[in-house]
Amino acid sequence: MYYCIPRTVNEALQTVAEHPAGAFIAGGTDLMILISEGLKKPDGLIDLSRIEDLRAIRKDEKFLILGSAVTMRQLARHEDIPLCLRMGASQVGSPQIRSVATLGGNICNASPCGDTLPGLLVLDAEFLLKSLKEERRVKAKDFFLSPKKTALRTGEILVEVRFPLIKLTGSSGFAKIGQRRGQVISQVNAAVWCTLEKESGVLSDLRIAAGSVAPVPLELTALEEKLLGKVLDDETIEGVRQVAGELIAPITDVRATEEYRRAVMGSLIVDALRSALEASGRWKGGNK
Amino acid sequence: MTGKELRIVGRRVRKVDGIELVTGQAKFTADMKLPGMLYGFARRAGQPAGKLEGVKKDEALKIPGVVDVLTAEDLPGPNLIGVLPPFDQPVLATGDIRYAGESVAFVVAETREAAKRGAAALDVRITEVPPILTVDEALGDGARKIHENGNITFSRKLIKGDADKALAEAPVVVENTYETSFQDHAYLEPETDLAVPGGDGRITVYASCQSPFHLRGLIAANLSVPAGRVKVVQSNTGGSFGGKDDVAVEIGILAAAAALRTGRPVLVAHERGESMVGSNLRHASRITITTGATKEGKIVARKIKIILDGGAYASESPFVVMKALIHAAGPYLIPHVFVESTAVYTNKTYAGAFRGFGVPQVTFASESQMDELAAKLGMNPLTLRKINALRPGDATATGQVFKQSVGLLQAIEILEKERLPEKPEDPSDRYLYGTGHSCMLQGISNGAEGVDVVGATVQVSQDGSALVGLGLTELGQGSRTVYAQIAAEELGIPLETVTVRQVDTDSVHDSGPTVASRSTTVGGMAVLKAAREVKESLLDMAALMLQTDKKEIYFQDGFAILSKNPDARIPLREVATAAYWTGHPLMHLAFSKAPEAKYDHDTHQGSIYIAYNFGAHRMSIRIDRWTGEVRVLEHLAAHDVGKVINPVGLEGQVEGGSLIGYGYAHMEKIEESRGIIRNANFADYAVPSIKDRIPTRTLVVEEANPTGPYGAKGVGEPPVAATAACFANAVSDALGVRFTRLPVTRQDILRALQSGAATHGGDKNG
Repeated sequence: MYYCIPRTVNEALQTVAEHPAGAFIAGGTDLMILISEGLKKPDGLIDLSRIEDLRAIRKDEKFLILGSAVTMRQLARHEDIPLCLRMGASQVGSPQIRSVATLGGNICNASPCGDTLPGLLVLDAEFLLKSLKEERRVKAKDFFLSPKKTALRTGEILVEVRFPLIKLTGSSGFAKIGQRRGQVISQVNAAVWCTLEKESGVLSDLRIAAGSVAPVPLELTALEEKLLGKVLDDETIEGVRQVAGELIAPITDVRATEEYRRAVMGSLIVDALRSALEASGRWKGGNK
Repeated sequence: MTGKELRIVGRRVRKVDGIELVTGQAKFTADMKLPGMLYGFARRAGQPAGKLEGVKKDEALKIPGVVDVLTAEDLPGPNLIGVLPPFDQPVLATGDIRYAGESVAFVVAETREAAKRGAAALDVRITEVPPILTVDEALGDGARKIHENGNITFSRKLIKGDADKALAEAPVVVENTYETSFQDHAYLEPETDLAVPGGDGRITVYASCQSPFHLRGLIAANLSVPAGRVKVVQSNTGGSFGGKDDVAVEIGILAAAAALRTGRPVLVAHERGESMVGSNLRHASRITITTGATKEGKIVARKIKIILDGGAYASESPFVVMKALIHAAGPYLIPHVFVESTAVYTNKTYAGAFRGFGVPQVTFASESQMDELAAKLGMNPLTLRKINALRPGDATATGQVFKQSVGLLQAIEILEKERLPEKPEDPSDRYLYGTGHSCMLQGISNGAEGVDVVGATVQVSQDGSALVGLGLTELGQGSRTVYAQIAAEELGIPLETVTVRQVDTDSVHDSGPTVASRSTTVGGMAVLKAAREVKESLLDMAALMLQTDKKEIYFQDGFAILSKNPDARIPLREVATAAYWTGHPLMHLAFSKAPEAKYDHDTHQGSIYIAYNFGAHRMSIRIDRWTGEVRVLEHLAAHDVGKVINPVGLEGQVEGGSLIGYGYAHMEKIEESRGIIRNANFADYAVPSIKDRIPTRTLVVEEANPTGPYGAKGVGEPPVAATAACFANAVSDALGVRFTRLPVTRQDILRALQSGAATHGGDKNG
């Protein structure tokens, strides 16, 4: 067992080329459980959390760029970051976990219930994957293949996550439900991103994604299409609650039944929409 | 001023050991690192039933770092544990595998990781046997016997009057069956013991445990050494709630046996999964109750059948059977009662003591039925309870009559005076609101379950400070603070000058187990007596010094003061120093012995407990019709505690117990399939988090209990039962449907709403 602490991305790439059976660790909040339960048996660990570039949040002309070792705590507190991602990050685990758990870890662990993942889908996030030989960008929607399986290849490191600055002009929100209120894994979660027409409040653009309701974080395109051009009045909201549960492919597991996941899907989307619009006073759904 | 009024008892004081605990200075067993210390890890059966054919150690011993492997034949003693008869549990399995968490071998190694690798490498051969996983299977005709004597662990009856006849004649009858799930203690600190060989033929075991003398006795027996060779020191203990008895013994024996073989200290520190799978749970139950009443709401009879799923071993099942039996009829005056209470073996993790000890199960059932009866009578649920509430002079279900300290009616009246929280205007009709009540009683101390004696010492030093020692343990419940207050009160010295020592079995008297809400009542009484005996000795000394009769002197604020002239005073340190030089004793050992329980063993009629805590709770909730999420808007917890010793400690006990009751009623569920627990971690087993805390408000009734210090009665367990029961009633009130099984989770609530079972607020569109 070895433990490597590279200080630059290039050094990390060299390290992983030499140790293809090693596992990347940053916060370790998912990985250590897998190792301790014997579900993952790496021959060593490569620590990505000390690489400055990976810990930065920055903007260029077109994109907001998040290093993969940015912690949940950083995400939750950064004002430039859209609410759907901030809220998701702020509801991961406990304060202790959020202080060390990273965005890259949440992404590469690829659990269907990861609380930042629906937010990344609705923000059209792209992931920069680097190896010694090449670098490529993969869209969030193409990255997740099945539970715990991603498009990341051996020798590759997820370096950064970016999404277009234009996304900052819309409203976004997030909601989750679990077996309890604090330190809880989502039974279902949902993120939305939308823009409304100024006068009418008609939805001019809308993205909806949900977690823990399919083998991968899922975008609900059919629902998006159905809602575009509509105002979020009581009738529309009731409609969301009606159909959302039919658009997902959940399973029954130790945390929730398939039936429950379907039943609450719509209300979580409504709650996510409310969290997106309430702050700017554009929520029309009353108490709903 | 005469020194008669209470100055420290009854005052809001901070926990005497609180600062060390919250600042992390307090050391726990697993914080100890000793030179040459080894780590122990048990290999568990991993399947719920079978025959252990053999364990081959070779492969484990080849793992680097592994020092030794113990199997059953390596234990020098009888390889048998249990808190009380029938002592049916092996430390390490010999033949029968009775549950998946059963330890079959114990590996010690230089590191915890090596020990775990060693345990995994062992060649353990078990022939599978079809497991018995339900009480019905266990009780079925021709069922395989899990233990030699069959599958009934213990069964008892309570018979008062003629319940069958009274029910047949009763104008109004309700009947229903209720079920509850297993519950894990979920203390912050999993079980941990450290055994250190002394090099003098003795061994010291540092233990996170509840009853150090249980450990000493069973460790010594299983090592085949006299008890005096074993010293058990209770380390700071991060919660116990009944859970650190059997398992603390089990790992204490393993650590001690390995420490003697290797000559090195051995630490066993359970991880969460081991804690949940390999230590006792709260009994799951099925309870059928039939209640008969007059049209005016006077209960005439109750007939109750209780079946407790006790899992693989007896543990404390016999006493839980009795406690459930005695409490099932509720805190009501009922002329005819018949109860049958039975614990059954199954091939699951064993059940034993857990805060409430059978009372939460039966209270949920009984109080649910009280609401059902109220509905049938068209009566206010609280009024129904009031009509039937036990009053001083009434006979309990066991026929015991308390002439005083029966404060149930007062507790109900406190609730009646509190206005219900107002429902906010809600244009969306997304939320449903409900309020539930519960009343309960809980016997204080061991009573019929066993001997009830505590020995306590109080020692005053020449500086006038005091050291208190007794065999009951501080587990977070605040008993150390209570004892310090009592000693300070009696001796007239500042609270800060009293120390309540750590429990070690060399230095304190065996005081029985720290259970049954008995610490304040029985332990407090022993401290009070010991303090008074020392005080008499000091008064004798002070009388000589002040040249007066000792009746003319009182102690206060660290001074011996002359009643007639309070300016005439001598510092107690001078009195104590003089007492030392003149041979007036400065230390006393005193006993409090509860009046013996006297009852008929066939009918359980007679005096069972020295006192009961009576409680009445009310909970108002809001339910999210869309998700089933519950928000507790208000929770009132009124208890007759006789006399409050420390209001802060009381509130802590009531709030903590209530949260355990809330988790039990709403969130916590052991998910098991084919005898394997599937959620043995806190990610999937939903113990409440800090964000799930409920707004419990503690309300106090003080009807003095003559058997407790200053009239006090215990309150550790009662809030659990009352909270769980009123939660279930609140949900039923909000939804208009009766839930007969705990926990009632969000999923259960939403299912009831969507299936149309709920008569209020059903989802028309769902």
